[in-house]
Amino acid sequence: MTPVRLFKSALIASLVTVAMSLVAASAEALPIRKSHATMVIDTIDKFIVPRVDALSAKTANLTAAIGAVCKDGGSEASRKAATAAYAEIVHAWGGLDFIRFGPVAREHRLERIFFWPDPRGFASRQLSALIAAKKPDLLESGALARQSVAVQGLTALEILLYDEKNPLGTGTDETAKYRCALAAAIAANLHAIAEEISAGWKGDDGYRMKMLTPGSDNALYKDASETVRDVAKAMAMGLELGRDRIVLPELTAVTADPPRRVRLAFEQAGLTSEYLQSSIVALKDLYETIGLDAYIPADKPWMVKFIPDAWKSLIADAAKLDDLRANERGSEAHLHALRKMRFDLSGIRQIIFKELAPNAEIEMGINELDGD
Amino acid sequence: MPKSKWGSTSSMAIDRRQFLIGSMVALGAARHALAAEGLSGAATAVYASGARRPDGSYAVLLIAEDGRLLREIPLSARCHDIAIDHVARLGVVFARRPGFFALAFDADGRREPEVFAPPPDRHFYGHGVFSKDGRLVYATEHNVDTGDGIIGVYDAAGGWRRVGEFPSYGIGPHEAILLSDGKTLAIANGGFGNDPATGRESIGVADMAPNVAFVDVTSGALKVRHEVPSDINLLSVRHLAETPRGDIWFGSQWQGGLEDTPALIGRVGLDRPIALMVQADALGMALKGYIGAVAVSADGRLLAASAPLAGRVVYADAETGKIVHDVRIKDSSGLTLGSGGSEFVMSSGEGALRFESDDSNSQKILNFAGAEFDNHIRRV
Repeated sequence: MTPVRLFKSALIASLVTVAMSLVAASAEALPIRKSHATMVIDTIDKFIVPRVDALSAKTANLTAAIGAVCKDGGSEASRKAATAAYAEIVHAWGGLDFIRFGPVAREHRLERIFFWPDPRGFASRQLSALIAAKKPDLLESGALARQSVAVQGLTALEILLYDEKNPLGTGTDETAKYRCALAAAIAANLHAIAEEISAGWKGDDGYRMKMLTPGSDNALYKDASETVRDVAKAMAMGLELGRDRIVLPELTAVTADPPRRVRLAFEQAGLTSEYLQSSIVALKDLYETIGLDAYIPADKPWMVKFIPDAWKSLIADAAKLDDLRANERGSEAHLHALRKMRFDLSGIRQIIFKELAPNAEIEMGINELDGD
Repeated sequence: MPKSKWGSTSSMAIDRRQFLIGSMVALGAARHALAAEGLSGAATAVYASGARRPDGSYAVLLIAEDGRLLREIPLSARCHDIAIDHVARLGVVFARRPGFFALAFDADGRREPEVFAPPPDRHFYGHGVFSKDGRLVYATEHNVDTGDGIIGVYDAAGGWRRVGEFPSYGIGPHEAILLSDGKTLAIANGGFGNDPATGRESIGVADMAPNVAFVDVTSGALKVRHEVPSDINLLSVRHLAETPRGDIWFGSQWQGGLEDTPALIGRVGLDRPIALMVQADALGMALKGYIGAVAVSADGRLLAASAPLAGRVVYADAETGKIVHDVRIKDSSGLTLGSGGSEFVMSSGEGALRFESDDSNSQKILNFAGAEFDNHIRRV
């Protein structure tokens, strides 16, 4: 038996044990079953809008922090504050970037905030070209929004802010000054995009109202069964992003013969774990906000424990990923964490879309959920 | 010839069929054209579709029009579309984007399936098509290093060896169809690629420049390329169908915000630029920005387009582009010609096969509890 099969067998065996021990507890009271409309309004008001507003506030902090770096010549303290502000945004974005409907879907905002994947280093090349050209008008308010999406957001800012050879703000030549000014412009641009997304959700014409008032006169949504599908698909998207962006690329690379290195999201900033962990914590939050656990079938009580255990394990494994990559690359612990994350992400997805969502009358087929 | 583990026919039957197939091949391109038009007159139509099985595994299913499950060929991963040689009764199923395998199978189970793969720096996009004489297969591919769209050429008679390639003249080629002239490939260049390392995540969506390219398959030279207008560059052209008059209808997928969705269905031709269907009722939004497949009826009167996100299949007059009919099917996606004049066969992720005439007066629905039919269905 291969190690993978052994691993799967062990997990299945442990699941069976859990299931047996939980049968007796199946009569425990379950949470209230929300209607589709309530699932949607709760998702918007308790999950999306607060997170969008937090992103906006944090991008304002980042803009100020980068401004301070440029102003004080890149002191260690100001750079530390700027990287801390950047980490806050990675944290905020990790918890939001799987919400791909609404204002973020317009004006290329998703890619402008985080240009990824970038397998051919497009952001770096575009950035180098801008720095070489040193056009002053690019630094003016709003000018960057008309440039390539690759240089507008977190991908480009990571390159500038975490360049150990050229610490941001240090250096007195024109190139060093322009680099810092460009970083400040990128931060300001990120804030502007976050503000646009926030505004796009609000008001009588905002996307919130469009989702909360489905009907025959609403061109986007005819009823709550349509709006709730967008919410459920966001859940699927988040689980897929964790798997496809982080877990599978890393697992494929370290198990290749010979093993390879793969560049992961926010790796240069040392924030891959932060991003993944934040994403999983947010997905757990979304899962609870929708109230999917109320739809665990009565004949499958083992799910009551399996799901929270899977979230907990995912969060713990995500938290140690950076350390494992740096210090124990290819080790059993590294492989175990990756395989366990793959298993848990897949398990949660399967349970939600094969069991809980259909129980909640949110049935999405293979083509709707993931067509091409 | 080794007996297929899926086949159940006697050797005598195989021999007779081989003889018949040999005769048909000898008839050459003219017979191929008849078969491609759905006029070969086979007694019982057979349909092929990828499917997910209840245990989560994937397979190609071959189903007779009377509902018999004729054969099941297991796959190691999810597939997308199936290229069919109607004369030789061969199919080639392509792994979905980013795809790393294709599997060639004999529809009648006379020989073992054969698996082939793209080169290490290429991946499949899920579609391919046989040449008119059945000797070659053209597959839509991605050059992983450069991001360019490629048409890989594989030898159907020579162990599926890759014998050449030419550009798709765009990024992200999805479906390619061989036009009825037998020498022009129409290619839907969807506009964006993806990195195999990160699976199906899209790359370069903001700068998409989708197009439909018409390419001479003998030389690989571009005949003409029609671009999607730049103000709707997020309209990813994916699926194509030709009318007997030579018009190409296409179905698209919108990569932007739902409220900005344009019409998703349009027409293009060698000598006519892309023109979207004109609809007063915001059809693109109603179809949730996504068309899964398109097909044109055998008589050329009707276009059918599936919209799985909306659970609908819409019919349009293939001449005027006006929507004439609308069917509700949950998780609708696969569409192909039925065995009758204007009949379509539709498949769904809920395991339904629906045989429908153009006026919907006669329908037959078969349900397969253990099959979630994947994106495309084809008649063998």
